[in-house]
Amino acid sequence: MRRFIQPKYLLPLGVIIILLLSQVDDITIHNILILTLLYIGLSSAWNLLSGYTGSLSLGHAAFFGVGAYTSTILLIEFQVTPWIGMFVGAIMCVILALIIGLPSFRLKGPFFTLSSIAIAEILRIVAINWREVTNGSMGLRISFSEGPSNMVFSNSQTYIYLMLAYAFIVFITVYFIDKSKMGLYLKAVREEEDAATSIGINANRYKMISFIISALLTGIGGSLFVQFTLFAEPSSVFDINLSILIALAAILGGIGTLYGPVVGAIIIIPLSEILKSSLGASGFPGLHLVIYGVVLIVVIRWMPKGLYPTISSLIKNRNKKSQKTKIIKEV
Amino acid sequence: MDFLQVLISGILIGGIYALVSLGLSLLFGVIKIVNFAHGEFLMLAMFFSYWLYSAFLIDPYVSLLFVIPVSAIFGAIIYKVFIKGVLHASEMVHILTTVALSIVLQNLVLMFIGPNERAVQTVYGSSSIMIGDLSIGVTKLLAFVAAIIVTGALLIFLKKTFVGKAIMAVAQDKTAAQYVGINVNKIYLITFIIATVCVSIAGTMILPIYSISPHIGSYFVLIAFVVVVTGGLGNIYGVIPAGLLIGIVEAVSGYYLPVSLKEVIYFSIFLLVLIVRPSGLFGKIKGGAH
Repeated sequence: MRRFIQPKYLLPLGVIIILLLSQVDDITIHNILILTLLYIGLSSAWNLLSGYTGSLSLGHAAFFGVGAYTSTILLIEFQVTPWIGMFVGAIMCVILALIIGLPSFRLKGPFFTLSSIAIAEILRIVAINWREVTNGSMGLRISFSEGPSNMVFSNSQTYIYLMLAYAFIVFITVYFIDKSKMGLYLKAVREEEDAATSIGINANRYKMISFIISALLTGIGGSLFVQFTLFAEPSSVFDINLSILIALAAILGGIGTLYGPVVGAIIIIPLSEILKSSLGASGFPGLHLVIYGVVLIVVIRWMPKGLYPTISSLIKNRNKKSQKTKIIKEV
Repeated sequence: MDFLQVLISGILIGGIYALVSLGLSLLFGVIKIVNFAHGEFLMLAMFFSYWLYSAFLIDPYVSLLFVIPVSAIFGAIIYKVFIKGVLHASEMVHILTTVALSIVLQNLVLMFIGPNERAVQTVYGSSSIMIGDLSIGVTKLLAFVAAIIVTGALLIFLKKTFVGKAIMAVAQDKTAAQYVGINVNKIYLITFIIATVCVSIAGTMILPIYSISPHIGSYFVLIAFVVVVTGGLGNIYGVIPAGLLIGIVEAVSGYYLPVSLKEVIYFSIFLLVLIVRPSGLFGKIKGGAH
């Protein structure tokens, strides 16, 4: 039995559970599923930069927002289908990542984090003030004209499949990078940048590549998100709390691990959605954020590796122990 | 004359920014942590002073008598409970701990007090001194004077007293300081308390000028980062010129450009300084920050 508590068996099981849950006719469950899958993708993408290279970004909302606004503006102003728009958004994110990354990777530690926050803030203020294009803080509304070409669907199941595909694509991308030589290089750079550089790894080049892929995938997530909510506003898509939640899910599950962001998102997103819907209305506006903060403090203090590595090492230890007792019994 | 007026209001605002940033700079210089919860300390001090005003009719300036000891205790508790345990860990852990602290403090206030903006109404709140055609707001002038006094007092403390010299020694080389018998843990605690008190004084001094809400901390913390980075992270001497520079830039750009763009302007300065001269514009880095 214990043999089956392994990611390669759990992942298909997870997909089956999601498909079963999507058949339940309950809008709350559908929303939670959609957001959880979205955050599995976003957190995995964040993890590729911050987890694998150690450059802590708290400004990934910048890419989320650029992706969201690009596809929305293309759809509303130029009637470009979001299926193309999201890739244009992704290209914008790549350009942005290049502009930010080239100078920023010279910055270490808190400087990189600070500049990531500053860039997301600048973009939020620009989105609020550039009214001719973004409609300011009122935001942009996507008209509800249903159809696959507009990526607007009346039944939320379609969005679940869409987000499932997104989460899967991001996961597979990170999976292949993790298993490739590049994954090793990135981990080497994270652990000891000087040593990695001295054996000929171009640290900045690999950081840049992972930053670009991370930004691109986050941008696509932004486009998909606004196609689901049909609404893009600066205070939601460029929100610093969005950046923090993306990071929190990965840190909770296990930063720098392949399965960590998946585990983290599965725990934190349903939890925060349930909290928001059950408590938010009854007069505690910031409660879910307080809980994010407390979870973050507890995890980084007592479980800095995150849930997934901690639990999987526990299971491994028990397996070893049970093998030992078997051997002892046989003897 | 108009331009002179703009310049003066920029200098006054700049003094306030310097005062707000002082503690952040000290913490980075000595303990080498970037305190993302710095703005929340400011916000809490403002709310505490506001509460003293609304419940007991204590004037904001008089409330300093209460704010200083309470914030010292608050700083000591935060250090002992949250900061001390993660000091040995990586930089990422420092950042995440203080970010988490900031989220918790801000939203606790939001939960219990609500998002509404509040302001103290004082008789002197809107009065100003006229010098020729120039008008100088009394509250801003007082905050500016406080900035000069607090910064001056801190510098004298660091230069002249034994504890101050020990703090500077720890800032320069922690290990060497330990060798000569300085209790680094104690110095860290004292530094954290001083930083908290400084930012709390700043919060109290600006209470008559700004209306408060739970989110005011995130507004000021970003300015404080800009000032501290421009002045040289960890270089507390750089805080005053950097604060004045940012204040003047804000006032001048606010005069020629839409006010809403002022944040974009100083964030751009911030990024430019980070990229072109990460050690800051003013002087070399003191305290061995790398």
